[in-house]
Amino acid sequence: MTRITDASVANHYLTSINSLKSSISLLQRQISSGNAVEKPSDSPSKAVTLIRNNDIINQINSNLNNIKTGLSFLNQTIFSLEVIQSEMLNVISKLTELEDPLKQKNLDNYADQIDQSLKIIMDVANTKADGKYVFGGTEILDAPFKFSNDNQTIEQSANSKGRINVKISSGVTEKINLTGVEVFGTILSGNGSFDKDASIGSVKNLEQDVYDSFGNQYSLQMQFEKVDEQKYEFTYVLLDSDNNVVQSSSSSNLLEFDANSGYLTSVDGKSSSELNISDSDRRINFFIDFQNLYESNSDTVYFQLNQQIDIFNTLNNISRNLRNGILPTADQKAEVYKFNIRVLEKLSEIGNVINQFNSFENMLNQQSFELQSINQEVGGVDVVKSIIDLQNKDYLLQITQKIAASILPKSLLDYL
Amino acid sequence: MAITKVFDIANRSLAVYRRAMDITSHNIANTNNPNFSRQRIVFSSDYTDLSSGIVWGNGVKIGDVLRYRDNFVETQSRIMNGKYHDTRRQRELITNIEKVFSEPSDLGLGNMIGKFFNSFSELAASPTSNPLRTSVLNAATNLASKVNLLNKSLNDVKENIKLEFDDKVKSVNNILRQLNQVNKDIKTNQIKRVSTNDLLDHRDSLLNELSKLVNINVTTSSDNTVSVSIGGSFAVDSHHITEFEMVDDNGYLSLRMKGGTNSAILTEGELSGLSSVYSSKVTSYKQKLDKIVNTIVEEVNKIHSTGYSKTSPTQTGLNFFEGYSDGILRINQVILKNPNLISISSDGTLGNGDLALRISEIMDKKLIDNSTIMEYYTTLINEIGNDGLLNKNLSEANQLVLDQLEQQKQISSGVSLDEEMTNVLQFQRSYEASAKLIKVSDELLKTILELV
Repeated sequence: MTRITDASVANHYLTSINSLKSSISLLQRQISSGNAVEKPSDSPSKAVTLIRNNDIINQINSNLNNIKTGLSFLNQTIFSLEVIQSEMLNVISKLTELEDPLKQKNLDNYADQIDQSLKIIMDVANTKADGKYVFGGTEILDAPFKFSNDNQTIEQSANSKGRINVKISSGVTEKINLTGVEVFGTILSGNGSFDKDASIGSVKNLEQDVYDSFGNQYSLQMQFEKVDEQKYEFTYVLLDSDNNVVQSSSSSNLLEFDANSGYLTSVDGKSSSELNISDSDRRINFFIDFQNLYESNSDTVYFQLNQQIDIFNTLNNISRNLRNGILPTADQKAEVYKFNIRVLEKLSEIGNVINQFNSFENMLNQQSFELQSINQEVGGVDVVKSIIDLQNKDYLLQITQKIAASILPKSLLDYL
Repeated sequence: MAITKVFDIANRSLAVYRRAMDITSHNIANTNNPNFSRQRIVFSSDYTDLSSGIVWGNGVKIGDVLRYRDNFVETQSRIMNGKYHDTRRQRELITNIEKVFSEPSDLGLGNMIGKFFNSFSELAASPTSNPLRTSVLNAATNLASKVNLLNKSLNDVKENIKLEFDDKVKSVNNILRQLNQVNKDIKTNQIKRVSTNDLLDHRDSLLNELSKLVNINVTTSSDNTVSVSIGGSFAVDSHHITEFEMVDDNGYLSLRMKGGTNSAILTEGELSGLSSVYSSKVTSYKQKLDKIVNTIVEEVNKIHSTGYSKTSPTQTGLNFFEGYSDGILRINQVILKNPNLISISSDGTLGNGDLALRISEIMDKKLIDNSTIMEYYTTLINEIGNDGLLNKNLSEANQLVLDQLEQQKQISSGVSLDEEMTNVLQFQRSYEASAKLIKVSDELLKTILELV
């Protein structure tokens, strides 16, 4: 028969009581903290899940903040565009009225109204939100649009092309601003492809008419020389109507294309694909956009101007002409209509971005909620179950102590 | 047979049972001594006389005083003792390290890293915002503080382990000295034919203590002395004793004979646990932490140094972090003093936050061993958690076996008060019977004397 000594009874008692107290202590901590996983060794896989989920939740919160910032800016942009569009309707209305010979008697009055519209559009174009010019790109010090020193033309800042990108989800960034260039600027857009099989050293020449703020025509002679595989050097010469060189590139610009996709990857090593050509004396200011150029098996490169003169100078020219008794030309009217359509397009574009932001906001909120639910399941405490467990352990502890108190000291010695 | 012989037998019997009572008292007195092995008196009949062709008994004598000990259980117990104390100590140390990492919680490094990169993501949306720039610096300061705290704590853990290891080596040497002395005493007692039971208990207790510290191999010789080796290195016998010292050999903590060249191979015991955590685990954790922090510093600086500040005139070429060395992450002091020096503009315009966006995207890139920074960090936490869990499970399993072995020891060596009190009653009755015998003999003698 197994000998049971007094020490073994005592050891059993102590082991049981220690185990119960340890369980009670753990349950108490879990109930008060609400966390079942206090340290990685409680469950390494759960701890890792919680850390990853918490990181994603933090990222989601940060993205939600970005979305809020973005929406605020986008709403301000929408508001500005709506004012501009409303003013454009006024201008169109005035231009239509001017087609009526009866209304052509008081051109100065119309010139005043056009000037008023121009002022409103310029004020709105220079409006600020969250400390930034709505159409100022990344330039925050100078207003994007201003009258030239002689008040004859309106000048646009070259820095109003900067994009403000925000992260709205993992791996997803979205532009929250419309740059002054894309709304008001004169952009010469490159389209089509270079022949990737063309030999190194081959040259592609293109010519395009461009205009100054008064409407005078110039010729832009462009040259693309293939200097290496997927690499082209761009140079240009700007000639006036008498074929005099007005401006030429001080140095070449290097365009690089992706070897696999054929898409443009950089201009002079930067992701920005726009090049500004300006001459303040001659009131020339336009941008060349290479973004849509690519490399393929065929040579289809061409360039297209989005407008001859920007809306500010168009309205300014119309006003000046009216004061001189000259009615708006068909080209000027076309520019106004074209700009109005562009504003509508931009309103639609921004509306889409806002919708996208709203969708992402809903999605992120849902994601965050689900992750928090998972975290609760993985690392949370079932309080009811824990309290019942705690009561059970406490009951067992009392029983153990009671039994131990009555049994432990007993031996034959007690009965002698 | 003469009547006086009855006196001799009874007298001897009284002495034997009084001695038996002494042994029982010794057992009862040591009921709560965990190192004590119960002792039992072995009674045997005294030498017999042959007279007139009849064999006459001479009563009782003490044959031996036995010490109950199960050597197999004892050996197993020592092995499990070493394993238990190895895993228990590792578990305790890793639990301390876990506390420093504070995962999973808002105070963990994972959260600090995430917040640091998220602060850049938010700054990208409003690059000119001074509160957001300050928020980036706060997040960076929190990150640096946590990294520095982690490094300091890991260094403290290592330093404390080293001190503890050194103390425990002194304990090993102390136990070895005592074992050497006990071996000598056992030898002397045996020559003097004095019982060695209590010395053997003391010896076993010392071996038990030693097995908590290091893995030992014990060889018992015929004279009951022991020869002990530690991790393959001779430690002590009845003639010789080895003094050990702590050695930190290129970050590997070990035990070596003083003046020797080879280290003992530590596989069990607290010293093994301490060495394992010091030499392997903390080093591994620290290397992974360094990899994470170095990657952050390198990648952030690579982007930040190309950016333009918000100051007038704008500055470029500034590193965000001064560097990371000796476990200290330093933020560029000039940036700390002036948040406008955070350089996130890629083209020099103040509203450009492209680089802040690029810095925030560092978190999405697989930069360390084909993992993102957060994935790699969770690998580190997983490693710490698994080390802790493994040692927790092992230590619990070892404790269970150790408890069972202790139970086994109690079964053979433990003192049962019921048993001892029964013996007391038996010996008391025998003593009383012997006394009665003397009284009866006395009366017989009186009767004879009255006849005269």
